[in-house]
Amino acid sequence: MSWDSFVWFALAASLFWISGAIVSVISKRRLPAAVLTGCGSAIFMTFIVGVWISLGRPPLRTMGETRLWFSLFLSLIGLVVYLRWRYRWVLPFGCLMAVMFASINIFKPEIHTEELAPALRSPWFVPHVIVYMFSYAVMGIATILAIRILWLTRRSAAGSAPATGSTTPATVDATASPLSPSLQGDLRLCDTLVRMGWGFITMGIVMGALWAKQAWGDYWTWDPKETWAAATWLSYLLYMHLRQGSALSSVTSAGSEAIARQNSPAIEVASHSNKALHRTLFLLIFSFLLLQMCWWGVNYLPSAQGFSLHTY
Amino acid sequence: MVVAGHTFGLLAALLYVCLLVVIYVLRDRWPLFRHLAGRKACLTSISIVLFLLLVFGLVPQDGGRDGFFGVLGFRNMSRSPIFILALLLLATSVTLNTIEDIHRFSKHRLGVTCAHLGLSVILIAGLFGSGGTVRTVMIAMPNVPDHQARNEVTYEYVKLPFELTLRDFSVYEYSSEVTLTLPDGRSSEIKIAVNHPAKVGSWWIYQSDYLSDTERGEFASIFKCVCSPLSEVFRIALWLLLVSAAAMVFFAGFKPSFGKKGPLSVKLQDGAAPLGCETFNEKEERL
Repeated sequence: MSWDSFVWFALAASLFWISGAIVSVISKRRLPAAVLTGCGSAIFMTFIVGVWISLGRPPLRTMGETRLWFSLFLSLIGLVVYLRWRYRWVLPFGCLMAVMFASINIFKPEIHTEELAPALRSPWFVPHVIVYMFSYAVMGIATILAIRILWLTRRSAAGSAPATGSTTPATVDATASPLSPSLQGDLRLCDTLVRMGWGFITMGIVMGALWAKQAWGDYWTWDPKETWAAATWLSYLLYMHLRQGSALSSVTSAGSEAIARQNSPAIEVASHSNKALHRTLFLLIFSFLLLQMCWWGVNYLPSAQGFSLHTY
Repeated sequence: MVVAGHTFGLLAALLYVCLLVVIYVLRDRWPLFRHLAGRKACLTSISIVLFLLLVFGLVPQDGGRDGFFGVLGFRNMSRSPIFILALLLLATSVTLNTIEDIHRFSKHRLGVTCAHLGLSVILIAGLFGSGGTVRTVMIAMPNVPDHQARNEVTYEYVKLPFELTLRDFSVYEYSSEVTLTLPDGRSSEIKIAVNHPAKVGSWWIYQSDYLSDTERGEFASIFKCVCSPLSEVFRIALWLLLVSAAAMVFFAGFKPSFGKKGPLSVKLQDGAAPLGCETFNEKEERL
């Protein structure tokens, strides 16, 4: 299978993905949308496997090749979130992003059929890149969630109707939180995805370090790509610690509330929490920008030109 | 020189860890120690390192000393005093949290404890263990025995505890056929390729590059010979981090978010945390 046939596979997969997205919005049953999206992902996966076999190497070398995996994982994560947590709107978002990245590959493939460079012929190559692409997709969905929460809380604060939209029932004690129950569910999912994505980023970094030691004799050399990878990793780590801290704060607030409920102006507490939450969510968006810098931005960065082994 | 640097680094690291244990023990008596071990120090250290990384990511790391960034040492991040201090602060915070995790061990926090421990070991080994690492480059000419390599940093010749004789180099496979001779006279034929280094004692030999003589049709191999006594420590710490990250991924979909279930939910329902259960991060929040 060659890259010439990519357009047909991409079109077929996109049709399924878009159909799945539409069905997920108009139908209350989850199975039809899941099957349609799954078919799209299967078609896309077939192409990836076919190219892998025909090239004789994993298609993970160029930007265009990594975008293939990104599209696939976006659709799959959207599907998992839809099925596991019943977030109906995540599926269309994930699928539309997958279609967008597949379209970029049609118009700007950035591919070639060269063999792998000797340094890339390592057992670490495939897991290293795949966990990274998976983390990018997970963090992409988490960022969309963060933007949604920010948008809805700001709209809510501006005096419009209380924000709703998620179908997830709220279970968290909201005594010290300014969020509506549905947005608390969104926030909880956001935290879960970030924790999962951070785990994948950590795995990617560690695998890269073990691979670098095997190939070049150093675990870490502060190559520009590594510097940005460390910045991304720390930025998400900061988000997780801030969220954990806010949970502890809310615990403290909730605990003291039983004693001093009447003395605590709830609106003030909520407003303070809201600001802190907004800052944390902006940090999440900033972290995603860092992630983009790490993925492809570093290729265009003047400071990386001539200093990075990873620019391609 | 390698042994001296390694021993000094090891002693310094041990002293540093002992100091942190003392800080942890005395944290309730000294406000400074309590703050150092607290959540704010953790957030501050992460933020400082993050900020510095952003600067280092934008400034070319050419080692120059001129210009605004050069004078401040921002063009050579691995030797920048500010960056090393920031990493030391981060190591202090992570290690104090690791000590707390171990002291108040809970199986529910096993993944976090492993991640803290792995990161702590990596940071301490990186900060104190680099003195014992020697990186050298050897240009091996065909059929010429050689036991000397040039230090990458000082450019001085280093006598290696083995001798290499290049027999053949394959451009396609990017690998060298080499005769390795040890000081006791024993020799063996080995193959060194990219991603497949050879190990001789505490030394690793890597296929780094090659030179070609087109007229003669011969190739010279460039080997990188690295002696890193703490290499295995790093490896164990990295695997620890890898396993804890995998656990985090696995349990992320099943484990409730912060404050939903587990010990924290008890606090949510009961209003106050039992003192025996709270971490000093929480205690700091409470204070």
